[in-house]
Amino acid sequence: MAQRGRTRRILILLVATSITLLTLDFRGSGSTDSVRDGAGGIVAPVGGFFDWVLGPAEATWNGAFDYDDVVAENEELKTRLASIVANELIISALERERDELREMLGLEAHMDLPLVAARIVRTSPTNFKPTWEIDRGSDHGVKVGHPVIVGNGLIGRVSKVRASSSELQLLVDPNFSVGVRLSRSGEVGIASGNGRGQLLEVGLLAGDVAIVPGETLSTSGLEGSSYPPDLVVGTAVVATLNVNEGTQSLTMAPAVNLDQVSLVAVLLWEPSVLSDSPPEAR
Amino acid sequence: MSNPGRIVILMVTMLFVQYGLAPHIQSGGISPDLLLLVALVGGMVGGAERGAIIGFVAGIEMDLIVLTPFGLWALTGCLAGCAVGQLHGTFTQGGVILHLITAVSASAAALTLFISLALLMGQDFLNELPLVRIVVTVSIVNGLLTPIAVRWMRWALEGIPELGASA
Repeated sequence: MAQRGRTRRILILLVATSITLLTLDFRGSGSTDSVRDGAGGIVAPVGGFFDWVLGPAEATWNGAFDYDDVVAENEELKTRLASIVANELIISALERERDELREMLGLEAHMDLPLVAARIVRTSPTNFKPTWEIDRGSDHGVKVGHPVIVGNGLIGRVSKVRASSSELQLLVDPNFSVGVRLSRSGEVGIASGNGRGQLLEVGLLAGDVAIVPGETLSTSGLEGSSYPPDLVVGTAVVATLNVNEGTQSLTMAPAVNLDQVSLVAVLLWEPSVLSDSPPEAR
Repeated sequence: MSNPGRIVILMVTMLFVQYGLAPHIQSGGISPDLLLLVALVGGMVGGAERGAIIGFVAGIEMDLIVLTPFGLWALTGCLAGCAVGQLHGTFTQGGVILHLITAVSASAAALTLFISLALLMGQDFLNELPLVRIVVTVSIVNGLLTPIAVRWMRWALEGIPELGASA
């Protein structure tokens, strides 16, 4: 009987402690983040060690048992490479033209930003962690908020930084938002994530703007924006008119297929001017 | 080595294994939740009181490496460890099959509790995950790993009656 009472008291104490921790976390005290960061610093090298030990074995296993997939992927990559080589020729011609026009108009170049190439080292140690981890951190100049791209396509931002690794918040995350500009009209709206595998949603577009499916949307780069201009975010899918508010909402396909990403670039870019709006939305 | 030393070794090792090894041994994109298994086996071998404590510590370890609200895994772990520990007397008379069935059903119940609480707390990203597949896969994997985990936990909590021994 005494044993049961003791067990009950211990259980109540542990539940109360858990609820206290949950309350602290919800109130954003920062202490739980510090503890997580500290623990992350300790376990991250162990994760790296396991990656180093098991990586080759995993590659061999995949090569042996997913051979058909590897061959198919190789063929697809060859096709894409040929297409990229062709595009590069066009792009270099367009870049020359752009630079000449920029020089004529006296515009400042904004795409020659310093960047850090990074490898996605882990997707998740458990089934309940919706972030990616890269192998570059504060030692390499990475800071929280830095945009993360693949090619010229935005895939997210740095959400947490450690010495030699960082965590990313992907643009499909429901808590992610970014200011975007339509390529044809120049109309500006706010794109936000809807979850992995879902289209993004763009709101606050004027009702009278013509939107063409397939039209490119890039970061707006407005003053104080958290992202530099002209990073491709996605392409327009379907626009819906909101008659009452006189605005349109738009669904948008992300420019980068996140399932095929293994290397990313972190732009060492910080907004020059801050405004009052939340940073994600700018 | 003293029991506290052994249980510390077990808990620290499982944290590293969960963080480092679990992502490499996925089945259909789903990795095992080994720390949940530790919580359950702590209850099976050590009883309700030790189960609650081991479950709480395992939960805290899980909270350190995931981004769900801090304390949610600790809450789930201590409740799961304690609940399984309530059946402790039954385990001393049952066999491996009983452990296995308990691990599978308790894993499913604990994960369902965790997911439900997380969704109530606004963790909407969970809706994007294949939750049923996660619960089923993790429960089965935990069940299969139970005999090894029970043996290891018994080593860590030396003095607990052998599996199948009379109460």
